[in-house]
Amino acid sequence: MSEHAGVKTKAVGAVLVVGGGIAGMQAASDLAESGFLVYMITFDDSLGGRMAKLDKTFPTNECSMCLLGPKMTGSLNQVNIKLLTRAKLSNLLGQPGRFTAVVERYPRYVDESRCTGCGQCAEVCPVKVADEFNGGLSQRRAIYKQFPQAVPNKFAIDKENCIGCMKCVKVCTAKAIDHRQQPEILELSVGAVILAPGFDSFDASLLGEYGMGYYPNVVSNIQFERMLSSTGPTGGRIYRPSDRKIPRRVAFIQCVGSRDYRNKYGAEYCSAVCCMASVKEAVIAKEHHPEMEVTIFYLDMRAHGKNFDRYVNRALAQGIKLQRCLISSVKEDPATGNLNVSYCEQGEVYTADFDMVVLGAGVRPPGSAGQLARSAGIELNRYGFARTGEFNPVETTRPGVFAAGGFIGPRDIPETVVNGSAAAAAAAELLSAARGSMEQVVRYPREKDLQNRQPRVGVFVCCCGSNIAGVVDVPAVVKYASSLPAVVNAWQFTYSCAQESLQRVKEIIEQYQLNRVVVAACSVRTHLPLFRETLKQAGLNQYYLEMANIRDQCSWVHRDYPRRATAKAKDLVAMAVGKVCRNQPLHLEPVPVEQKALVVGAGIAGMTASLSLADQGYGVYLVERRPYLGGLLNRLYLPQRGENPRDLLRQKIEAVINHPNITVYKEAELTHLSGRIGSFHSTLQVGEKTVHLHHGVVITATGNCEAPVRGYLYGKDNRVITRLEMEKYLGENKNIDRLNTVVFIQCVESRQQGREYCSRTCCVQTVRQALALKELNPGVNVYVLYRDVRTYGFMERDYRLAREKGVIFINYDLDKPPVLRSGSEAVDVDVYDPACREELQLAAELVVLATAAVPSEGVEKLAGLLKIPVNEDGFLVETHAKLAPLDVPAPGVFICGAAHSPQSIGEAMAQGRGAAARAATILSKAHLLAGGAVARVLPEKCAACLTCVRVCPYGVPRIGTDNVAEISAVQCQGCGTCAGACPNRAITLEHYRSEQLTEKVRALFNGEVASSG
Amino acid sequence: MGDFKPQIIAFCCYYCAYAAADVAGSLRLQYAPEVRVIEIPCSGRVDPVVILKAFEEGADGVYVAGCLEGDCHFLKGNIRARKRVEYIQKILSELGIEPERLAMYNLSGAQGDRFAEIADEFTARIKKLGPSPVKVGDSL
Repeated sequence: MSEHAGVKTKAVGAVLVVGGGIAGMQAASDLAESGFLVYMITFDDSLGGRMAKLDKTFPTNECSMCLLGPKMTGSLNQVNIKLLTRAKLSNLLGQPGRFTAVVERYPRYVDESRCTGCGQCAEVCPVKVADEFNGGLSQRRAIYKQFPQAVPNKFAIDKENCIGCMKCVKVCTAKAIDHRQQPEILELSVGAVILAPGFDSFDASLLGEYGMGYYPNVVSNIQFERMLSSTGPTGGRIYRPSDRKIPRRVAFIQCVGSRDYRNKYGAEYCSAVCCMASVKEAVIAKEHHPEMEVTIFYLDMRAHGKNFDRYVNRALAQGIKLQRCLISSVKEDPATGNLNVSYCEQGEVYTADFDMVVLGAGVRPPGSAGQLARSAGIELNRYGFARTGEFNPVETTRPGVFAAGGFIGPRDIPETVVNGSAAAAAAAELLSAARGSMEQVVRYPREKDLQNRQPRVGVFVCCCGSNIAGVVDVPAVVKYASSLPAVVNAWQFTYSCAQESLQRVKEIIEQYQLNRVVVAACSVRTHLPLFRETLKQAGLNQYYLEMANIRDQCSWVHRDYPRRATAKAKDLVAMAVGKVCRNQPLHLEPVPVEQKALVVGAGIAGMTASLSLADQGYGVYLVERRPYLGGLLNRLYLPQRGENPRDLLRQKIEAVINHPNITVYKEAELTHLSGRIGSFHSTLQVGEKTVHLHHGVVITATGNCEAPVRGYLYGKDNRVITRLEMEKYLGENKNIDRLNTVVFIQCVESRQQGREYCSRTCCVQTVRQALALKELNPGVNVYVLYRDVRTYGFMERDYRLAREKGVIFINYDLDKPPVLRSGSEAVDVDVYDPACREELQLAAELVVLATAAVPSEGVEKLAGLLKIPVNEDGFLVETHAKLAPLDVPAPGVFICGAAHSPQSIGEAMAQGRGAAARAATILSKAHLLAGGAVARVLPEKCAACLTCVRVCPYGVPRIGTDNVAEISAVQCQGCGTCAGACPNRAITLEHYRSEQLTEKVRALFNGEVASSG
Repeated sequence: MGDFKPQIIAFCCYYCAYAAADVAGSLRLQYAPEVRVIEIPCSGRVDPVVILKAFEEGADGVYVAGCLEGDCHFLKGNIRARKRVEYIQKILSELGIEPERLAMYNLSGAQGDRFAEIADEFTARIKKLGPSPVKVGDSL
């Protein structure tokens, strides 16, 4: 904290985020929601990054775009995120806390304030070029939108391919196109910078042996992913590019350009995501085409994440074939376009024919990495990714500049999201004194009190140029609308979202004393925030607005039936008018926040979270069950990528103990918790004493421990030890020079029935221990008996070094595990070696067992107290596996570290810091705003039947002291499941009350005239 | 019966079905113009009274469209919705209304094609069934 003291007095409360993918959006939203102004720049035309290209995400098969859409719109509408597209960082001057970021902004040639996203320009554009978003499998125009759900929903011109015919200019009635736009240079004053430009995919055509680029039916994993997407080039069908036939036999080839350091185009590291991505693509392809036969050729199946092994096992059960081998070549039969794959398995060469081959092309640093590193003044690592520390994964070599996501190295979506939050926390620690200094707070005129007034509705019908008016008879809709009861008048706009139209709406509200508004235009998903804003500016409650979607859900989809589209538009308007008359003003009420955190568990994740929050200026109560701090870190000795865990442990404990904002309770347990987000009351048992605490959030960091081992002579022969015992043995370096043979056994009582997951850190730890052994005693024979070596990401280098130093890796199968016998001289280890197809007998003086990581004891009780769900393996369940890895359904409660899933020190630290950023979005506010479209209980109707308590996915309702259900407005997420389930209709979901929905229905049928029109 | 234009109400989850309808729009997929969408925050919001009211008012068919199972934005609202729809179908058959006039669909927010397909499929189903017996009763 002290090293920032000089900066803090004059730090700038704004942060530059470079990159609009999921890491950038997460960092930006965490910062914007905790009192900072964010400039988010992306070189793309849209937010979304890599995730926008994905059809589904593993291991839940969720639709990627559904997850991303609300995130993108949220970023666009957050007033404290200033989004600049087609922009890049060109220089960064100054020092941490006070940077000047020089940003070059390139023209879109389309005025974003005017473009309505209608797409008429693209329809008339005569230029067709390969669409890089779809991996070149389709074509787009020179004026285009990156993808259908692009945010901002605006077009842009690709000037390189534009022929300047000006057809787009002529057709654009919104006058949005401006071919004379010039690049501009902006200087932004910011306190910190977060770099999240993402990553690139390896260009597999550089490797001749796979035929990419000249055999048409060899495609990349990204091309295949785009084919699976329902908005992709083939509308969700898999076609062979050569003949557009559905392939029956599909092969996936893994590690293309990864784990391949000999080839000049290859990379030494593992790309960490391709195994799971290919399994997912195989599963989804088989869903689309059940008759398809899919084989995945792989080296090691790296399913090292939460629930990944289960996913792979399900894929196997669904008939996906996994073939461990080395691929030697792919050859095309020119007559059929089929592909012959040769591969080497257990020393023999085999061949197989396929209709299509998908290459699991690896991860590469982003193309902009070099330029960005120079501009930002940071160093890159040996592979061209941002150089960050093993224990400080988001800190670059330049103080005040942080990195997140794929720019740090290959990683999956949840890790990327965690990095985004961690980078936000790092920036917030640096700039905590400036929090709120640049934040924009929007002020509105005082709201008119209109309760009990007769509804006076104004209807605004949008033509959207010709998008609506070209199909729907807009004047007829206007006339019909003005005839509806309670409607004062209806108006027609060419573009209702244009600035001048919004101004006009405000004037009309005033002039006609309107108290309800209906906008018949496009989607609430994109435009509700805009029109709500207009109402607020006009002094009306924002809930006095309804929209009728007469474009996306009417004129665009019924082009051939203009009369019936007009009838539908009238119905939709009548329904909106019916409902708006029943709408009630809803107000958000401030509820106070106790700006302190309770952190449960003082391992590395808990200590990191505590220090981050404390450095951000918040009080922290850190609770630890044991008499000492540091958790499992106490048992790690070997350096990790050059960094020493012993030093880390010492530094962190010292920092925690000396921090004025942290109160530590050792030998303490949480026994009781009540309250709500922003104001929890908890009780601790500290030895004999009981302590009561008041805090706004809870962070759970209870970690994991080594599973007890039953087999492999453990406990019976003292020459058999666990991997954590080995750490200590190596750390103390006693008698290592006397060893002749050491055998490591991986996946001990893991990845099998009863414990169907991977413990993630053991392969890496084993390889590290093997290297340490070889260093201390070069003559020692080291054998590693493994099922899959999962040295993911940059850790692959240690695996390679271990092989080079002579460590022997022997693959074993779950059906044929190694067998141990105690001998007088050594422990005899029998194992079948598939490479030479022989039973081997190894005489080991030391056998090291890679034990499983299991959740800490008692976590279920704690989880019950905090209402955190627990999965079948005993790990805590996050709100969302991909996009909310640190949140849990209970509002105000967060998780981090190995209680979430097994993870390395660096990963646990990123989660700890990330959880701090999530917590700061609450702690930074003196008050939370509660209410709006949330559930409300009508006490006189409640029979305390517990239905709502049972059905609420978030565990919010509870039965209060007067024996009626209570639903805290600040906790409620607004889904309405309770309202739908309540047998006595004692719960209403505001803004979606039953009578409001029914009124919509009734208005539809009262408008009989319209329907028949 | 040839010119029977059914009146159909679709209660669509904001996060999936409503989003899919927008995607169908941006892809200009053409589908049956009989469906009227009512946006709800989660399919779990639908309650029996609102659906039965829709039939009483004269709807020939009603469907609820939520996220794919296991994919609900609100964790499990769509599972509740399915159970409720099945329950209401029983009530409908007791009232002498064909339970097929009510359906539950699941789709993701990116499946514009599926949204259009459902609209067509359900409209065809209702056309086959003819006007709702409630309506026919009214006109008697």
